[in-house]
Amino acid sequence: MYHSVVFALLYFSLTSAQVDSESTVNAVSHVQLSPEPKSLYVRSCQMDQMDPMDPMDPMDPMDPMDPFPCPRPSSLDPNGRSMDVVDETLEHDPRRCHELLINFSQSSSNLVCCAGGAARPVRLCEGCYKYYRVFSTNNTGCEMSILQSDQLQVVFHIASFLQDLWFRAKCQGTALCLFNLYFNPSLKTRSVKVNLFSHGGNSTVCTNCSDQYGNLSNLYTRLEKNLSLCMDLQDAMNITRREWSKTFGCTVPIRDTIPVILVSLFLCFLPAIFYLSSFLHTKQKTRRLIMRESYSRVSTCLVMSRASNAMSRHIVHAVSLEACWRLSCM
Amino acid sequence: MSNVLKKISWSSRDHNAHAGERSPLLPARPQGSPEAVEDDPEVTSQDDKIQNVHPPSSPKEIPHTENLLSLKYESLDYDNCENQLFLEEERKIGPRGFRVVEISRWFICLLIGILTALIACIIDIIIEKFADLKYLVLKDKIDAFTLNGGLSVSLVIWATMNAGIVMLGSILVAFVEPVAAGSGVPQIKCYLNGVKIPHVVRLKTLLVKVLGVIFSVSGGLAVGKEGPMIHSGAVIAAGVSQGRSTTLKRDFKIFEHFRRDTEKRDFVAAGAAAGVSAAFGAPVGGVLFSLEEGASFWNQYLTWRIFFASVISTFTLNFVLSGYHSQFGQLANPGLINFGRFEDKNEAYTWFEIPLFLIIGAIGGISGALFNSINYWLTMFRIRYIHRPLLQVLEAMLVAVVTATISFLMIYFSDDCQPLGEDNVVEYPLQLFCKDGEYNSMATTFFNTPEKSVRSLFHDPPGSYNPTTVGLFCLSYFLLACWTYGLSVSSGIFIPSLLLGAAWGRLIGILLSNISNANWADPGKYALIGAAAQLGGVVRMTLSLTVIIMEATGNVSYGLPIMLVLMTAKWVGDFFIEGLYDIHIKLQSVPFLDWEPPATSHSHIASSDVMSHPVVCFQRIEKVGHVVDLLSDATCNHNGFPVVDEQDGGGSDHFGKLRGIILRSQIIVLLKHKAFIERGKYGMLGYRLTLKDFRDAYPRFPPIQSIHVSQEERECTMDLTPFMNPAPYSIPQDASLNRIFRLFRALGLRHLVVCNSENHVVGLVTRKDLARYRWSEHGLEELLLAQA
Repeated sequence: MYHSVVFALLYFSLTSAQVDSESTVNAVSHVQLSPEPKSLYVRSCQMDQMDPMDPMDPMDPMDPMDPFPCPRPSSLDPNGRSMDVVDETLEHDPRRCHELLINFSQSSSNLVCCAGGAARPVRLCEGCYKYYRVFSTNNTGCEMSILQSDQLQVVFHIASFLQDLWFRAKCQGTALCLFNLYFNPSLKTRSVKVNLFSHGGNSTVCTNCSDQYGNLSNLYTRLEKNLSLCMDLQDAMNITRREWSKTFGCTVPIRDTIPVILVSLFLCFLPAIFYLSSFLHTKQKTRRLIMRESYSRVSTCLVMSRASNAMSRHIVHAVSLEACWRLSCM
Repeated sequence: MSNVLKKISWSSRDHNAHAGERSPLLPARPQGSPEAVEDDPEVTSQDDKIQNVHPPSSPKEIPHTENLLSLKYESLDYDNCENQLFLEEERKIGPRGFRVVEISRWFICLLIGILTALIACIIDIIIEKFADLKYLVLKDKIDAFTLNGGLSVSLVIWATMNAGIVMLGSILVAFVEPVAAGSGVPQIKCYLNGVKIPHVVRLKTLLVKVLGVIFSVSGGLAVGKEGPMIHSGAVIAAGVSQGRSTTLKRDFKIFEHFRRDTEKRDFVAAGAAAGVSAAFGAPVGGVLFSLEEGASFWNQYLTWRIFFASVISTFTLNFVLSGYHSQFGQLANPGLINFGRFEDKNEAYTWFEIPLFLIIGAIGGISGALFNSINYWLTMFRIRYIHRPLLQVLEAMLVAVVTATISFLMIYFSDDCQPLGEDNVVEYPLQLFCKDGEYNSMATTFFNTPEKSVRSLFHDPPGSYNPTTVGLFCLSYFLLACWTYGLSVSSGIFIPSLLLGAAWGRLIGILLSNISNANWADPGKYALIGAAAQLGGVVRMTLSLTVIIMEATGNVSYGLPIMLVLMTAKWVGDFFIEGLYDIHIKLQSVPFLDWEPPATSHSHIASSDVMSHPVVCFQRIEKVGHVVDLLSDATCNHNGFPVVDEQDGGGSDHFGKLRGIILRSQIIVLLKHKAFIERGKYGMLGYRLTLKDFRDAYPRFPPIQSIHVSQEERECTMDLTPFMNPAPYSIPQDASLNRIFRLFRALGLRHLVVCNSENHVVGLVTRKDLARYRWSEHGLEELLLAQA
């Protein structure tokens, strides 16, 4: 049975300048994912580097190779009711607000649809950016009528859920992600390839691709340190790593057990020697005692004998006096 | 005396005191310059005199035990000496002046709060930077050696790094300022109890403490930086309130009114509170700490001022650290250790878990008692055999090496791999033998500063650790922490205890959730309870610890379980052995007065048993030569001298009628200023002595040997009347030990004169006379006095 494993090697090929600290990432980026396993094309790693980058307009979100196509806006809701019925309670230019509501529901459902498709492996930021852009286009003027006229606040909750999802995937803002690289013309895009290997080439994968894997791993570590990376990249890298070390078994750490045990035995033996030798060779610290003047004992005896005399308890007297003398003569 | 059941016995061998034999008696630390001697009556150069006084067989030498009281320690003067100078000054200041004094008290508390917090910030930031550097270097090395072989080399590198860093800290402590060793909490406890521990609140101590704790924490030892913060706060308070530094020889001429023990003690209490507050983000806990540890002489209006210092301290720390972590003004870092928030629904407890908590408390008590008894034997061994500074440094380095080795072995042989995810942010994920994209979970606990490990044990989601990992960690960390405390490095015990307890608590949580398969057994919650139990079992603090932990978790509803756990831990632990701080206080032979007098002290022991008998007294008009001779006599190491009536020369059983009491320090100031009658009323300086002259000499009064008195001056006389305290506390001969103890403890006395029915002086009770009697399970014990 042909069970193909998709080995997604995100390969950031570096230009001469390499990656320096903050913003100038001279790397990256176009991902080709074939939707059907049958059309996998297997290449050797060496060939990838020579591939010219895909010329495309980075500003066009609606690229023809939309990996997660979602239904186009339609003017019918699932029940077939025409959405053109205007809610008369929407004050303040009701028609426009109603339009906004329709737009919102469509764009959010598109975004949800896309996000679901892009869940595993995570391609949320990259695949659904265009829907998010449509979804998040700000329209003002209808807050009162749409957001604040009931307790349920459907629109608010849908919007905040989607926004939260988007933020948690770090698709927003300064995080480095594939679409950032599309839309930021200041970054020179180079090439990132998705290499698809069949399971068959196990032994060759480790030898052929170890350089690339090493480079990729280093690059990722460096990027991770300086920039925040979006979930797409993190997930791709996680999958890559897992495939690399688990499926292909390419990472083989060298265990060093016997030297480690010997060295640690030696190190743990040192304190024993130390304590033994300091026990044997150091002179024990002694304290010189100061004898209290014995007067207090004598005076105690006097006091006690006086007291017992007064009470004429002679036996007690004798006993305590004897005890006194014994103590004071110590 | 027959009621004293057990006399502490010592080995019967008599050392015939040769000079060579006595050499270990000399303090291991090189003697400071003469002016550094803090009105210390014991001058080692005078040993020959002691020999003359005692027959050669008399000075017995015994190995160090806990049942000794050292002469090194003296009482603080908490009793105002109401002599004529004092009354004059009080009249001069007037009501307006007192208002200024009161305001400056508040101002000092503000300064204490701010400075303590700043010190805490400095320590925290430097340790963070240091640890960051160290762990990154180590991680690189280990990663490289994992790929290419030769991991034993990285072990050696780790061990060497640790040993090197710890060596620096240990050299500072062992050679520069030994009193900065340990957490400093026992010392502050003694200070607040009224014992003057030499050097404990000096600037030099603070510096050594701060540097020492930075080195020992970043050297990877099983120590925390919270205990030393308490000590640092106390030193800052003592320094700021005096308006000068004797170490730097700078006098800012401010706050002169506060240059006496009574005022200083109040500020030290505030400083300790500010330290706790900065360490744990627990202002109320800080106040309660001062109250619990220094409760002997607490006055109520002080509470509010101490709370002020405390809150200022935690706020400043929060402000500065938040600014440092680039969230300026967010105030998200209330303490050095942050337990994180326990607000999750799973982390709330249910009623049926309370019995479980009690069991955990009992386990904490047992584990704490075991910890304490092992540490007790270890400390005893250290005092007896490892008392040379060089050996102490070597020992600290060895502990650092072994700590690194054990950590490395733990990480090496652990096959507990966790996926690198978004859930648990690991700062230095160490892959070692794990698959790519995974990290070794043992490494998160060892490969980190203890504070962060505590937090990850509290808050990592269930399933982050497997039980074997946690169990092994507990065992090894218990031994390491126990071994580490008492080394000559600055080290706190709070964090190691919390970490240890959090580990076994989490283990219990994991086991519970495995057995019951219920979602109420959140391992993080049990980690918190375990941490409280372990800490309670080790230090046995009650009220303040409950509040500290409650404030650090930021969850008041945890109050009940934490209180129950600490209570159980204390009761169970007290059944076996005392708290760690008390053990160390006893091992230092400090005359510490407990909260309560020893039981059965009512009927059996009277003041005539307690008191020191031959009292050295002065007449009101006394010859200078006589005074100097008495003070220089090595056997007369007293600090307080009753002043008696000259007509009544003293009989066979008393020393004359009591008129007042004068302190050694006062006489020394008088001698220094040559305030002799023959030199006219105004002495040599041409002006009358005022209270300021006494304050300027405080707290390091010169020893009598440094004062030169010529032969003619010896013939002069001096009048002690204006300088003595004319109304000393006195007690009748027949008063019980219990009564004396309570009077002493409540008023914070230093000397209590024992008089007979005619008000004749018969004896003098000092702190050491009271602290001699100690209640133990064998009955009432009498301790022995030993030289410093």
